Amino acid sequence: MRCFCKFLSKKIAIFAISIWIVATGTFFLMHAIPGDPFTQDQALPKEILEAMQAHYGLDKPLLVQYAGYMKGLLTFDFGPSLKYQDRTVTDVIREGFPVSGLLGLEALFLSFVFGILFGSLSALHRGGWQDKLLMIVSILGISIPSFIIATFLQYTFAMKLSFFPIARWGSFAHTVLPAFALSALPCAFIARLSRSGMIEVLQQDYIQTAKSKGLSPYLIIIRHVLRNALLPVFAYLGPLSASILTGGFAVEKIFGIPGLGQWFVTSISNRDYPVIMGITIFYAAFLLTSVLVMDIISSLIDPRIQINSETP
Amino acid sequence: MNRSSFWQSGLVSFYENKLALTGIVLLFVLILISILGPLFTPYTYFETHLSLKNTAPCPQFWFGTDELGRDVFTRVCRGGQISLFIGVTASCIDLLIGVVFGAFAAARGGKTEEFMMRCADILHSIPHLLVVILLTVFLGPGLSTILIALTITGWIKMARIVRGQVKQLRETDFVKVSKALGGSGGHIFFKHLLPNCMGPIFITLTLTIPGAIFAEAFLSFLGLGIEAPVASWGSMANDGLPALQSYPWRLFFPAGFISLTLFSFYLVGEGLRDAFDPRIHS
Repeated sequence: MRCFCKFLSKKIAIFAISIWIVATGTFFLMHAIPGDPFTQDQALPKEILEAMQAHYGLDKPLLVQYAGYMKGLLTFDFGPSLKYQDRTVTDVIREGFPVSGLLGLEALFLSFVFGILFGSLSALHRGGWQDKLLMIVSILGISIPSFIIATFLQYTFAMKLSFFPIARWGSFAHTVLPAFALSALPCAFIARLSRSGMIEVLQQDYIQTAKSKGLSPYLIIIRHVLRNALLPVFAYLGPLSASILTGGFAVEKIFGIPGLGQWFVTSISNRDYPVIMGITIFYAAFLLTSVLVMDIISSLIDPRIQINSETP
Repeated sequence: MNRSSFWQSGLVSFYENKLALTGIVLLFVLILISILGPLFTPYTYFETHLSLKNTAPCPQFWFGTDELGRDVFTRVCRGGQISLFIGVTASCIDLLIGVVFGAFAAARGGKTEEFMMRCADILHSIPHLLVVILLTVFLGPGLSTILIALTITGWIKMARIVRGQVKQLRETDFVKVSKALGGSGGHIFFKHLLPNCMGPIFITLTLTIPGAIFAEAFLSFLGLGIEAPVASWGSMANDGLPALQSYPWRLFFPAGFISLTLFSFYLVGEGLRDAFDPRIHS
């Protein structure tokens, strides 16, 4: 138990330092960019410029701004957007995240269902043509970027076959193609992890025992194999959600979905620094939290993960 | 004796892996097309033919033309050169930093090592693409920006692998013997440790190159990477996206080339890993 506390405090310390570094790094990076968001083709009169800078607090010394920003972060106050008046970064996140989150969850669900299905099929037919075929498909899924899969799906199933709406957001039908595009990589990843996990478990003695007791193969898979084979999959949930999240930048752009990824990309081209900063910090915090939670959960579930040993 | 048989058995199982060989052949063809392709067309990648814009693929323009009448085939070749350049250069820089950092950490040991690896852990925990995007916002788009952004966190994986290998190898008998015989630190590192790390390093390299190529394509697709008139597969796909319904070839050719390149790199990398990873072997 003392071991576990040490493990936990170490993880949480790294988590806190990482978030602090991300916040500090983005803050100083964004403030070190020459020029400011008010620089336009048509130069603003000096008084107006000064008034605007004063309004947004940009005339104060950098360290004072930094302290103010950090204080704001503690209360989830990311400051105002420079491009869209009367809208704070928190508003942007509140609007965009549910959309991206829903899409992400749908993609995660799809990748779990199909990943585990494909992985189990390969493991059961190890060495057979099914295994080889699924292996090639999984390398395709890992290597082809989600933005290419997304455009391909959009072209084939929306533009040519008209099965689904081409773009925008609203009904369930709008979510299908983007969710599939986002799920390709995690699905391939889960398929491979569950394949190797299952192959390993299938060789264990307790599976032989279950077989000799006369349990049907499907019951063996469901009761004994899946539970143990899926642990490595859960441990990878953090990196997987990271890939779904960053994949969202491009996929939301392709399908014109008003999610957080779309906001992020637009704010970059608008040079809307507070929004860029806010969304970056929010993303990083979200991912780091999910990694931390998954680490803790998988160490609790699986006693084989030696929490006191050094991470490789 | 032992090592050569390790390499031999690895090579044999690599050659027997049809997928990996397909990957090598595909990769070779793609590199040849990217480098030699422009020699077979009378166009340059930036030359515009406004009267012939958005021409469908035909004998005159193999892959058609884009919205400014530029030859898509020549641009795809140019994009291929850039992608391969970025992939290889970024991976080499990663390799250099990673080996130096990892080996130094392992060599020092103790508190220094702990501190160095913790720093690497923290850098690694920050999502890679976010760092890359932030840096491109900061530095402005361009080739050197992409290289800097990709390498700033890209070396960590290599450093971890090198450190792990060195730590493991240091405990082996032949290194201990060499030390007992009075071998200097440099001698042991270059003669014994580094050659034995080459396998994992090389495998990691074949998987970091496609990673860098993907990151460049992704950034350029978001409009943050390579800027016109220079062509990159990602930026060509980005330009082609709004015209997908009417002129699909403008997107399909660069997209196809990205996918094929990444696919063949992964095939080779996987083949190498299966062939040389002792954990899978035994």
